[in-house]
This record gives sequence, C-alpha cells and structure tokens, in this order.
Amino acid sequence: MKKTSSTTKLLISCAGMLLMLFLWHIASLRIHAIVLASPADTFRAVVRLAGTGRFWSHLWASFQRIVAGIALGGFAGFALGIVAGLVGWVRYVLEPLRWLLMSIPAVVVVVIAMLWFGMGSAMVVFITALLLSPIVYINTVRGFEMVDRDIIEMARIYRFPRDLTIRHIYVPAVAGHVASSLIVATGIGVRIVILAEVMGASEGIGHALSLTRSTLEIPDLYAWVAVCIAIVGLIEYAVLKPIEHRIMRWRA
Amino acid sequence: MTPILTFTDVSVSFGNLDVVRGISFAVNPEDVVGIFGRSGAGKTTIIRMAAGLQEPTSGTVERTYRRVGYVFQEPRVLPWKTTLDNVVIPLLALGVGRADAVDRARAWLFDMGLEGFEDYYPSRLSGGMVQRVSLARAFAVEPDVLFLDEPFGALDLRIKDTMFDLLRKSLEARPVTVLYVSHVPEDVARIATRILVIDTDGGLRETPVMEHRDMAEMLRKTFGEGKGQGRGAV
Repeated sequence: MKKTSSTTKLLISCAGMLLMLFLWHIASLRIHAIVLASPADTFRAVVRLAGTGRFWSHLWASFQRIVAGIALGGFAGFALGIVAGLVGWVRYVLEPLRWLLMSIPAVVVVVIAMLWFGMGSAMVVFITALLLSPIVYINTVRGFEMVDRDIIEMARIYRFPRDLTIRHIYVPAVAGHVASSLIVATGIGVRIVILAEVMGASEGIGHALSLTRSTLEIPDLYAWVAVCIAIVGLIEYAVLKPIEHRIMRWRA
Repeated sequence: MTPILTFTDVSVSFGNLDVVRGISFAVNPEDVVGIFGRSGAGKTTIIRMAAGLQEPTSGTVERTYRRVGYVFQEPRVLPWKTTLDNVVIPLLALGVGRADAVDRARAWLFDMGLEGFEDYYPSRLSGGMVQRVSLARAFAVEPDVLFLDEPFGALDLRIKDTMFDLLRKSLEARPVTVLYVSHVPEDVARIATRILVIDTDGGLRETPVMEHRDMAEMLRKTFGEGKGQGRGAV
C-alpha cells in the first residue's frame, strides 16, 4: 500500500468530519428540535455558554477531574503492570481484580463510590482512576510479554544490573503500549467522569448536562456534548499523541 | 598458562537428540579459536555454554574469565537507544562513570567507522553498520574473552570483508581471547590462530592452521561445504 502523507490523512479526516456534520444537519431538519438540535443551534449555544462564568467553572472542574483520573489510573496501571511483568505471580494475584474492574458496569461503581466518598471530586477521580487502571495495566503487561528475549539475554551477557534493565529495556519496550493505551483510556475516562458527575456532583460538565436535560435546553445539551468531544480531542492530539510520537521516535 | 575456558567431556542433548557429544577443549588467554561445523552441528550451543548462557547435560565447563563481549548472529542492539547509548549503557553496567563511558564509546565507534552516526537510532542504519555497533559494544567493555557467533553471517560478502578487516585491526590494537564459530570455511580460516572442527560424528578435533586459502580448501574438501555462504549445502 502506498504510504499516505500526513497532510492527505488530515484532509481526508476533515472530509469525514464535514460529512458527519452534514448528516447531522440533514437529520436535524427532519427531527423535532426538542429531540435533536441542529449543528448551527449547537454552535450558537456553545458560543453563548462560553460567555458565562458558569460554563468555565463547570469545564474547569471536569477537566481537572479528567486529568487527575487519567493520571492516577494511568500511573497505577503502569506501576502494577511493571511489577506484574517482573514478578510472575503478582500477575495471577491481580488477574481476578483486573477481570472484576473490567466487567463491572461503571454505574454500579458510581453508586458504591458515592456511598464511600459522598458527592464531588474525590468520588469522581477515584472511579475514573479505578476503571482506567486495568486498561493501562493490561497494556503494560502485554508490552512486557513482547520484550525481545534475545535483548534480555544480551543484557545478561553484559551484566546489566536490575535497575538498568528496567530503565533501558523494560520501560522503553512497554512505553509505546502504555502511550497508546492512554489514548484509549482518555476517551473512556471522559465518559466515566461525565457519568459520575451526572449522578453525584454539584458542578462539572455532567452536572450541567443533567440540568439542561431537566430544563429541556436541548441546544445546550448538545453544546456540552461538543465540549466533551473537544476535551478528548485536546488531550489526545495536544498531549498524548506528541508524547507517543516522542517515545516512538526511534522507529524508522 | 592457565586456560580461561575449559570444556571437559561436555555433552548436550534435547530429549533423544544429541546436540553435542563428549567434547573437550581448553582456550588459553589470547588464543583466537575458530570452531568450524556444519549447520546444526551444535556450534551455537557450544558458544552459549562457553558464555554461561546454557549448561551442559553432562560434563563440565570451567570459566575463569571475568568479562565478556559477545557478538550474536543478529546485532541485538536496543532499538530505542542511539548508537552511542548502545555502547555506553553496558559500560555504565560495569560501573564506569558516564563521562568516561561516553569517551570510550566514541573512541570505539570511531574505530568501527561510525563517526558521525553516534546520535542515530539503529533503525536508520544499515545491517552492517548495526553489527559494527554490536562489535564496538563488545570491544568497549574491554572483555577478557570475545564470543562471536557467526557475527557476519547475515551480511553480504563485500561488507563481510570490511568487517573482518575491522575485527583483525581491533584485535591487533587490543589482543583479546576470541572464540568464534562459523559454518563458512573461509570465515573460520580468516583470523583464527587455532581451529577446531566439529566432525560428522559430533566429536571435536583440532586441525593445524594453514594459510587461509588452503585451510578453506581443506575444510571444504573434508566436509563438502558449499562455496561462500555455505547455506543449504549440508
């Protein structure tokens, strides 16, 4: 297959986005405004909301929770993954917990966490970190499994002490996996934060969403959805992709 | 002279398959020992036992060397580290300070003709260049013994000549005990001061070293090994 240049890729993606907006617009012409706001109404709502102080405080509250949740969950998953990669039995001990966390519906965790932490940021960040950690964890362990045995043998020949082996072999080998798992985790993390906020927070995007729903301000509801998507995009393209690119710069 | 490596009646078998059958030999300091054998004759197993990567099924391998350089068939460099770091890190592992390690690594990379490529990642170098990084790494640790397992087998003939010249020059500059294995008669004969041959019955015998063209001719006659790369001629 011919390699597509990054500019071409970007143009094609823009075309995809325009197509999506167009279909949305067509749908909004046929569906009542109480159910589906048009792209134009949504855009106007974003602009109007952005002029209010409440918008920015909700946005900031959620943004902090998202970043804290991803950072904590990512760090926990990565650290546990490294330990499980180095010490075989830890992996088997953690396996049931991983399975539990990846199977349990987020709503259930929110309800339980509200009992434990009450409403607010601690609860939201806890849930996000808890549910994201297994994603990063399994990718770290998978990265470990793919570490080249021949390279480990080389390290043995040159008598690398454990710290050098971890720093120069294991961590770089799993870093690429971890970076791409963080990109997946970001999308899921935003969903979890919003869900938790809808149920148990008095500020944040989720809270604002539940207000717009009860007051039937449909364009505002869609405006918040657009904001959520923008946050995922911002974290992914402005932070994680550049980090991933830097980590993987050794590839041809 | 006390040998730095002694094999005594060493055998290796995997299940019913005898890979190595009762071999004995000793390597003295500054010997350059070439082991010739057909593909599948157990060459890699022998060199891995010499390096302590594998233990014999029976018999003993005595190793009294302290430090090893090893050039594998494939370069085994760290793909996420630059050329320089690939040579520096094993030195750090030995406890050499960062500044000294960098100086030493640069000097060996220079000798291997890799000056100017210090900051390149291996993915941007040719196969021959990466194997030279591996060679620089092996020499830079100042080993007592250097193990070479068909190190230039994957390279084309012209590059192989250059590599052997580099190896010869490096050995002249810093004499070191070498144990290397190959299934290509010419390659074994090139730098060896002692030659061991794995016989068709799996035993090991030492043959006198001759001028390398004659040597290669003799080995090929004895074993019917094909010309040059010798692949598929078993």
